[in-house]
Amino acid sequence: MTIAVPTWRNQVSPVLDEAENFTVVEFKGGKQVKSVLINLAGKSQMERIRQLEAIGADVILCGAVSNYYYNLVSARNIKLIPWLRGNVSTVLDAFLSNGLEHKRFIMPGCRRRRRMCRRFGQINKRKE
Amino acid sequence: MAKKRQSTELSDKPRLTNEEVSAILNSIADGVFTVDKDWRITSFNKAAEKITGVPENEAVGEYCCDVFRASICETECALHSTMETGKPVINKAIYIVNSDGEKVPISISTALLKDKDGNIIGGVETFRDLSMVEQLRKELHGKFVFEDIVSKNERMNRIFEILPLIAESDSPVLIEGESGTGKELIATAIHNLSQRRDGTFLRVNCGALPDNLLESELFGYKAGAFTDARKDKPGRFELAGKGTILLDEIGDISPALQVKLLRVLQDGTFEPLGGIKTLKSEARIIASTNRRLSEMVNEGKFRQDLYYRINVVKLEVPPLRERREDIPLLVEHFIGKFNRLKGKDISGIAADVARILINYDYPGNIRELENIIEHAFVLLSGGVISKEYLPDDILHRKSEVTTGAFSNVDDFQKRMILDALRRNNWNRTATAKDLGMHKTTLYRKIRNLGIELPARDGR
Repeated sequence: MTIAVPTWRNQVSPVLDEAENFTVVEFKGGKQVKSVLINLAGKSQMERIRQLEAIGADVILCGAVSNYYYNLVSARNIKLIPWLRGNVSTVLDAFLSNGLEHKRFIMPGCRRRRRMCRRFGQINKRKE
Repeated sequence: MAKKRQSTELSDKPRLTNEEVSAILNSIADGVFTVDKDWRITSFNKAAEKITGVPENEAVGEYCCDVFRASICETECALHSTMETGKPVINKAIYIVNSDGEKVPISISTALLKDKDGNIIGGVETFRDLSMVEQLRKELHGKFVFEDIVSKNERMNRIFEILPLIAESDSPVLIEGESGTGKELIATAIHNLSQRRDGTFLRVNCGALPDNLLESELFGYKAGAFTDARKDKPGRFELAGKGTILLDEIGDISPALQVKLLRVLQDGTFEPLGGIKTLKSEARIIASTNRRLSEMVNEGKFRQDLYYRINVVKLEVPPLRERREDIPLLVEHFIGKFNRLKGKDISGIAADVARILINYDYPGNIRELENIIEHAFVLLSGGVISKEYLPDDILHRKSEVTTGAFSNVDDFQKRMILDALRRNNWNRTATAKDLGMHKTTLYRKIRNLGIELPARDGR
């Protein structure tokens, strides 16, 4: 499995749409076999996704992401786990140990429900 | 002496209490937050809560980049620049991503915060939501961009993927699709992504004008060319300059005009009516049609050579009934748009309305869906759109559904639950909350509807 994390000052980048550097970590048999930092500055959003796909990223752990970009990435074979924050290696460890639901990894405003957006969420608030 | 008196007067002036400062900040429409020297938020007003979607109690104490999520956090943080140089930033236009994943255009201003001794203790950032201004600008000037095309459909995503490449090239583009599928939006996005973005974007509806009028509209005329031609009038090809010209409904033009267009496409030249001088067109040509031009070529109704000239890059925009997964996104998009444009506060649609909208066939495509939502906005000023606010014909025609619709309520529920599960990273507790149902109800529905969960889920 290969995981990509948009990285800024060793932290998860605040906005995936604008992220320029990605930590790409490859795991085999539960062990980390490779970790590189790639710079995608100057590339379009679509080129960044294509490049991450080309290096085999299966999962992107990221911070905030616009619905538009979320849809673009989700249409590829990459799983996107957004609204995360914190130190990149700590977030990676938490992902591998199923610990990402902890408050310290979730961006403020997204704690009550990890959501990408409301979508049809309003249906559930209906006043019928 | 005077100085001393002034200083005493200042210190004697009654100062505002924290509660009073907070009340003032909460009464203003602009978002305001302050940070300490470690970039942790120390105060966050009501407007900031509303614009970012982050409650004050979750924002205070956190790093500003995790709360504000601005396009410039990583590269050119305005507060950082102010804290380093001491110079304020005024009205810088950026965007943030709010808690609903929406890109919110804002303008920001920053300043230093100092204590009574003049020591820097942090910074203050004020920001104004420009969503309405931006929406109006787009509506007025057609400045739509790539991201205004709302879709998660696979075919649309393939278009998104090649759109920047198409924009970069200068080749003619043919956009085919039924009426109301967003062909013009795509053409505008291509223009606004291209090097020609600072030039003019002109749209000519070839189907709306009689042949001779269309000819003078496209190529212009010279004074005296015909009875009422008192002075020269430049045509659209000339007016477009180095911009882009969209020939909408190109399938409707006559064979005679097809020959003239072919010449523009072949060597970029044309003559205005009654003119003797050949002019050069430098505009990029995008053609769109709701017909199948290849079939028209086979039937002899459209010139083959012209078809091959405009069909350098072809985009086929699927009708809405073939991209039903986009209906929820589009509904939300139009509700947001009309809330901004009409100053209303409609929060969403009722479940039975969602069912009707998802199963409807939309002969008028996205434009029809937009009209349905606008219809509800005329009758409603707030709350949730329920069935009685839908146009009558939608309610009566819903049974005509044929293609790709949900055959029953179960199919619909399955789709809704699967979408919510994906959205919440397969975490069933979060999904149940998202869907507004109890956890056990969700488990039962997952079991009864035969929804398959991935081996490793988000529990």
